[in-house]
Amino acid sequence: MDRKRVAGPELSVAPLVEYPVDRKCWIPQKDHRHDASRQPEDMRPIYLKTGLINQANGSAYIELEKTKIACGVYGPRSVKRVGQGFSGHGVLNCEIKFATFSCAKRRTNVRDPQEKNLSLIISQALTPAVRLDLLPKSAIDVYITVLESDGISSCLSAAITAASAALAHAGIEMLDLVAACSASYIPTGPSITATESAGSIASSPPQIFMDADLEEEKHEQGSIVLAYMPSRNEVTHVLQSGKAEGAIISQSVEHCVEACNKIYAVMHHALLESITENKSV
Amino acid sequence: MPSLISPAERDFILKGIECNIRADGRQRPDFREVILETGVVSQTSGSARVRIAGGTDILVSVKAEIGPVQVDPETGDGADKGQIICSVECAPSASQQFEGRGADDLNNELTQMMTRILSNTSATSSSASSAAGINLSKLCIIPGQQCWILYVDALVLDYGGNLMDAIFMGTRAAIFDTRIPKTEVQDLGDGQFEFEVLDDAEDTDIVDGREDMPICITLNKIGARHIVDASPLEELCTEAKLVVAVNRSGELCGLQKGQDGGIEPSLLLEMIQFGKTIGQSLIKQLDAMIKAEADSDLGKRQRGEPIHKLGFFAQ
Amino acid sequence: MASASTATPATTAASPAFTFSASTFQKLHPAEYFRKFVSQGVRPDGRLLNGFRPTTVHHGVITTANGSAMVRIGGTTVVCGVKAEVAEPRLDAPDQGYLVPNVDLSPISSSAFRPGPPSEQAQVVSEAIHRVLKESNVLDLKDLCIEEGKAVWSLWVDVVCVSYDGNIYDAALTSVMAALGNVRIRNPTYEEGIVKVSGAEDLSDDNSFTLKLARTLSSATFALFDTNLVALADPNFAEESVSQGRITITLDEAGQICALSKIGAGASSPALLRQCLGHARERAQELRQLMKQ
Repeated sequence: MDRKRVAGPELSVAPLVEYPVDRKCWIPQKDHRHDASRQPEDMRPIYLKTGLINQANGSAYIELEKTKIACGVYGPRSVKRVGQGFSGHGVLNCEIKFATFSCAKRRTNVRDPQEKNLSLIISQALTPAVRLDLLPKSAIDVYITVLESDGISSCLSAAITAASAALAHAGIEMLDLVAACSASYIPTGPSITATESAGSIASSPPQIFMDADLEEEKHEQGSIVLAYMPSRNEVTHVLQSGKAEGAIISQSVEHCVEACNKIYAVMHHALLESITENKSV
Repeated sequence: MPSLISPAERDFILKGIECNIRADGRQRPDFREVILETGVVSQTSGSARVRIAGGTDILVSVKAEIGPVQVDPETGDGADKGQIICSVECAPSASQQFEGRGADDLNNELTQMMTRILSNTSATSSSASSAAGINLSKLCIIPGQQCWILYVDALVLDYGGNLMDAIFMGTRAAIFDTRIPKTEVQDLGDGQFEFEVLDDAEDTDIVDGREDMPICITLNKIGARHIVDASPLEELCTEAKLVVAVNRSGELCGLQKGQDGGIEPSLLLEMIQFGKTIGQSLIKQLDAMIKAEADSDLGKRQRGEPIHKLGFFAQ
Repeated sequence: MASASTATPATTAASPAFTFSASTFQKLHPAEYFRKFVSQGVRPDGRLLNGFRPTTVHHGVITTANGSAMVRIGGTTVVCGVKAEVAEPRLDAPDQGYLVPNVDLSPISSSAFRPGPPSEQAQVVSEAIHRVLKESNVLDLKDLCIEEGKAVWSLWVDVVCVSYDGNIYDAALTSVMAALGNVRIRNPTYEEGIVKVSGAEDLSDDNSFTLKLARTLSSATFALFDTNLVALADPNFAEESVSQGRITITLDEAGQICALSKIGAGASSPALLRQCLGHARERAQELRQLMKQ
């Protein structure tokens, strides 16, 4: 039992949801997204702002409609732990935490394996961009809190984008900003005229939806998250899950690279804004 | 498992790879010799041991157990599906760095990667199989109540580079070796069911869809080139690594970048293509190995000869 | 000590009297720096002694929660989300639900907080909010009953501190009250050990319910400075670290005191306490306006 928190019941579960029979479900169709105002290649509008946490060396807040993520950067600070030996390179520690209320199902306070794994992915995606060779014996801490999540892939990519903006805001030397983007491959059901043989479903290639939300993610066959440094033209991380043809993958990589360039512009704008704001103060 | 490399050694490896000659005489796309043996642990439902010449030694066991189905409260999904639960553990004997809690991060990374590729169920109800190809619906005993849970445990006994590929080769072989007892379901009326596990070692089910299980190819980008099946020293020189999971029909089942370097998009696509080709030919070789072993076992059994496995400590 | 080292080379008579920039002074002698301001009746950030920082409350910011609110008091930002889940009631209270408030001082919000289990400060704040909610009967836990002895609602009230700049208790309590105010839970049906709710798209009073809050709590915190002679309303992080004690007054809408705590060194005079109470009443008015949707 956790004695350091106010104790609740030992076991509590979400109630079973009984949907009405005539519930209108979103059915994936070609060019028809869950959010009807978007085209398959459209991302959600991004709101990115730096400098909301005044105790942090750098911070950023990102919002993609429902997805809300805050990120704080502390450091560089000296590594206190002895016994690790001297290191000519700095270390980038990333830690992502989902708020207990951030998902449909309540999350626990303890760090679960998924959070640990996402933390590792984020640090792998950011490390190629940060000049850690200039920071011997130091560590930079990047803390990310997910306040609300609307699709895990888009959440991960937004976290990477926000963390990179926060690192830049902290004035840590980097080769480039890292923009990240996600895409889902969703099989679009056979049109009504098509015969209902299993073969026809398999033969129609899945549609690539950029920056899928939770509802779309439930239908997905696979997804990809790509982190990219636009001005260096370098992919810093790629994570694909689910089954897909090679052609779909190369197509979605191209789409993601394109989208990352757009996100890059947003990041630029947010950072420039924070500088002009500082000047006016 | 070495943790540091001198600049001279790094230079040697780097320049060698540039000239397409590696320290052990291989070329860039060459694998080391793989020794694969199935059915090595008698208490499991299926097991396999993989050894890559040069050190890496992995034991994978599959245990089929009966448990309740996991239903997603939101979508009601999963009522008619079995589960696959993966775990990877690096034994402290494999490397000094794995002592104590030293292997925790590595264990978690490998476990998560395996889980993502093996048990990531495709959300579309049209296909009941997981990304790994395994037909999860066949693992269900009573829909909404009981199912088979396959616990896939990989134990890293020795480390000689390229863990991920070896783990997946072993997992694929262990799943091929897995036999699940048949069950008999009785309908007691008004929604009540009862089932019995048939205790006949000869009459068992295989895991449906096992042929479509993917394997992983890890590509290590060193300098401007990329190699497969890196040795420990080569892994230390790796700037970026790319894990490509591919099945026999050439579909990609997972992709993940590792380590702290970047890759250009065009090179990334090239590496994916490269991994796909290598993976498909490797699957063919592995299937041949598994088949040869199964055939020889069958032949021996028919002739009434005892089957001697090389066993655990064989070299 | 800086003055001692620089004062020795007194040979150059032309050198001006020993001077600092204001920010160096603040770093060397934070308390003295602060005293200089307070003696003039103002604070370094320009506020008067009894001035509160600008406060905003946003309702329903998190759609995955049953109720939520974001509160900003100056540089302190907290987000509170309420999740309703089904649990078995306690044996000694078969018809009562659970109300479980917890405050997470996450490492993102300040370099003073480290990752890991809740710090002492987080435990103190969580416990204080838990006590005041429980003892002033803000919510009748019987309202959370689904089926007596079988199933009740458990309200997990979690506050995440996103940015920390002092006065966490006021921010957390305000966010908790605002979030509880907009909680909406789907009407449950109990059948053979399973609780079901309808998944209808739009929530109205027909298919869901809100919480009946017996009272709305609002609080005001004052930092005690200079052996309890001065009380600074709504201290920020720098002020908290130089203050010697704290007075927190929690009031309900009728102006009744629901909780009052004075912690730290020394004793404060009744007059000062009375003065704080007056300011707290004004602040409570202001917060109640903000908490209204």
